[in-house]
Amino acid sequence: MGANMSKALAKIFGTKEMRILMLGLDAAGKTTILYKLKLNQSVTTIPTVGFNVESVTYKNVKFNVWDVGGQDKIRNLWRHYYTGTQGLIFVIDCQDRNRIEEARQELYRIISDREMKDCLLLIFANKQDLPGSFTPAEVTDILGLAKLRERIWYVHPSCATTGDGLFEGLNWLSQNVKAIYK
Amino acid sequence: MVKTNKPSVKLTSAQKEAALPFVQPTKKSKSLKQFFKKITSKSLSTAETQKTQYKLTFIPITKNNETVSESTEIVLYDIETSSTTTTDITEPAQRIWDQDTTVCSSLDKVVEWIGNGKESSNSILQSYMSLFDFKDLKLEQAFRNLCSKLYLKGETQQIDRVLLQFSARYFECNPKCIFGAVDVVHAIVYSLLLLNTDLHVAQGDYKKMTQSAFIKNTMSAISSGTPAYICSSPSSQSFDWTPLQRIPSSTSEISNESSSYTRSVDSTIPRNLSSLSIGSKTWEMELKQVLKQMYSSIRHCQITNPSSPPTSIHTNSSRVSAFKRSVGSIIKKKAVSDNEDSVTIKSVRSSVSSSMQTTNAPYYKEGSVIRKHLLAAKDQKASHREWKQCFMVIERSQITMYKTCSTSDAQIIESIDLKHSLATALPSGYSSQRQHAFTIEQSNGSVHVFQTVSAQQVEEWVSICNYWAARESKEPLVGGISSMEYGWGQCLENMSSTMIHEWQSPASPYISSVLEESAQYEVLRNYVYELTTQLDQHRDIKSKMISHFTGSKSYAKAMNNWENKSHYLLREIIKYQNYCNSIEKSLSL
Repeated sequence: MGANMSKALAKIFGTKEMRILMLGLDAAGKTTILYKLKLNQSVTTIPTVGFNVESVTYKNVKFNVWDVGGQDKIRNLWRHYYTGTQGLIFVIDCQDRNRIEEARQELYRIISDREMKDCLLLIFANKQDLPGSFTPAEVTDILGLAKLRERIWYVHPSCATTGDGLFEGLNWLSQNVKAIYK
Repeated sequence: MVKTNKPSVKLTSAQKEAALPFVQPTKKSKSLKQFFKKITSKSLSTAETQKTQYKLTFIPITKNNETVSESTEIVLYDIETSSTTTTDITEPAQRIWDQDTTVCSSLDKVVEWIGNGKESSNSILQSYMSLFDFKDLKLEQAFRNLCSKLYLKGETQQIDRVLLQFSARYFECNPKCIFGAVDVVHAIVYSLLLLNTDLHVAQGDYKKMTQSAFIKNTMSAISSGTPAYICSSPSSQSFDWTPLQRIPSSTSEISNESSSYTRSVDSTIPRNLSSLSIGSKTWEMELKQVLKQMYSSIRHCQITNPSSPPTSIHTNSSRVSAFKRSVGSIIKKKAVSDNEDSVTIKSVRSSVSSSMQTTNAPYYKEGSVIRKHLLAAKDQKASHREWKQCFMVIERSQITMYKTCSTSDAQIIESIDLKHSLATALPSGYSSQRQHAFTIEQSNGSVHVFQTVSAQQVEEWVSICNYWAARESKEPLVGGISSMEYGWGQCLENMSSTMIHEWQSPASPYISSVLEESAQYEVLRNYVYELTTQLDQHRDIKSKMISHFTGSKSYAKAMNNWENKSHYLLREIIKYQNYCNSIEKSLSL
C-alpha cells in the first residue's frame, strides 16, 4: 500500500524514478561516484551484503543507480538489469591511457545489446583533475561516439573525488529522459 | 623486531626465545614460527636491497591483541609496501582473519585491498580463503560464513575477485559437489549476491527478481561461462554428488544471527553418493533444485555483514544544525522581549558570532528584513508570495530566514543557497511603499525580494551575498560533448535533416569551491574569459544557422535554442563578472 501511495504522490508532484546502470572498468571511479552522490542525502546504513546500489534524489528525480558488472562469462547475470534501464552511466578513467581501448570494447559490448538500444548514455570522463588526462573531446574521438546513430549520448567531464560534475551529469539524464520516449 | 633501519635482520636465538613465550601454542604460533624462520634465514644483502620496502613487523598474535613487551615493536603494516614484498603472504592473511585492525585502516576496507587485482593482493586473498574450511557445507551456507567474517564491500570488480577465490576454495574443499567446476560455483555465488542485492538492498520502484528469473539467469550464465562442460561429451566427465535435502527447513535453520560465524556442518546430508554427468539433463534438473532452495532461503533470510555495524557516513550537517538550534533559542529570547530593538539585535549578533569559528567577521550579516518569494523557477510564480517579516542571517553561502513572531518559537522559514546566485539592488525600489529593496536570483531562476530600511542596508546585504556567492561557487567543468543537436552542431555541415532537440541550460555545480580568495579570483576570471569566447562563437554562428534553417520546419526551434543559449551565456557572464568584482574589492581592502 505504501508503495502505491508513493506512486500516486509521484504522479501528482511529478517526481520520477529512473533506473540507471553504472558500468566501467575497475578503478574508473564508480564507487567514489556513488559515494559522492550519496553524501548529501540521508543515509541509512544497511547491513545487508550486496553490490553497490544506491538511490539518489535530485531535482524531483529518484535515480536508482546500480553498479553491477563484471567478467564477460557471467554477463548473463547482470544483463538481467538491462531491461527497464533508462540510463547507462559509463565511467572512463581518463588518466589510464593503456586501458581506454579495453573500456571502448566493454562499452560497445553493453550498448550493442538489444535491451539497451533506447537508453540514454552518459559517459563520465572521470579524473579530470589529474594531469595528462583525456579531455571529453578526446574520449569522444577514441570511443568513436560520432558514429553512433540513434543514440543520445553525453560525455561529461567529472572529478569523482571532489564530486565535481556528477550532479550536472544526473541533471542531463533527467532533462533528457523524456527525449527517449518521443 | 625487524626494522627497516636495522643493519641486520638476523635474530639471535635469545631474541627468538624472548619473543616466543608470548605466543600461545596454537596453530597460529606454528605459522609464526615458520614466518620467523623465513626472516632469520634472509641474508643481509637481500634485506638491504629492499630497505625501503622491507618493513616487516612482528606482532605476536595473542588473544586480545595486547602489546606484550617493550622490545616488540609494533609498526603499522603498510599496504603499499606489502604489495612489493612477496616474502610472506600468510601473515597478512592470518591477521585479516584475526580481524587485526592494524593490518588495514578499517575492516570494511579489506576487500578493496585484497581484491584490487594486484598479484600480491591475489596471493593474500588466496591465502586468506585457505583459512576457511567449507568442507561438507552447502554453498549458500559457506557463502554466509564468508560474509559473516569479511565485509564484502568494495568496487564490483573487487568483490568479484573475492567471489572467484571463494569459489575456488569452496570447490577445493568440496571437489565432489554437484557444481562440478569452479566456474559454475562462481556463477552461482555471483548470482546469489546479486539476488541478495535485488531482494534486500536496492530501493526504488521495480519488480524484484523472481525465482524463475533467478534460475534462468543463473543457468544461462553457467552454460555461457562454461562451454567446455556443455560441449564435451557428458559421459567423459562424471562425479559423485550429494543428493539434496528437499526439505525447505534450511531457511529456518539459519537464524537471524547468521552474522556470527557458524560452523554447522550439514550433517543431515545423506552420504549415499551417486554418479552424475555434468551438463546432462539430470544434472541441470538437480542444479535447478539447488537454485530453487537458494532462492527461497535468500528471500527469507538476507545475507548480512559481520555483526558490528560499519561506521556510518558522516555529513557535516550536525555542526550546522547545532548552530541553528542555538541561534533559534537566542532569537526566541530576543523576540519575546522586543523584536524591533536594534540594541538587542546587536547583542544577538555578538553571541552568534562568537559561537561560529568559520565566519569571516567582516562578511557576516544578520538583521530584520521583509521578504517575498516572487518566482519559484524561471517563468513560474511562487505559490506563496506574501511579504513576511523575518530575521535573516548570512553564514557563508547560506542564508537562513527565521520567523520573528513573538508568540511562537523561532522557526526557520526558509534557507537559500547563495552558490550561483546573484543579488541585485533595485535602484528605484520595489514599489513606492518599498523604496529600499534588493533581489536574489538563484541559478534555477527562483527569485526572492527583500525590503530593508535604508539604501545602505541594501548595499551591505547585496555585497555580502555576492561576496559569498563569489567565494563558494565552483565554476563548471568545461568541455562536455553531446550527440544532441540543437541547431549549431554537425547538422550545419551536412544537408540531411537532423532532429533538433530543445536546448536546456545546464545545471550549476553542486559542490562548493574551497579555494582561497585570490585563487578563486583567478579561476573566476578565466571562466569569464571562457564564457565570453563561447558567446562570441555563438554569435558568429547565427548567420550560418539562419541560412541553413531558412525554409526548414526546424527554423523556429533552432533559432529559439540559439536565443536561449545566448541569454544563458550573457546571464552567466554578468554573474561571474559580478563575482570577480566582488572578490577584487575584497582583495583591495
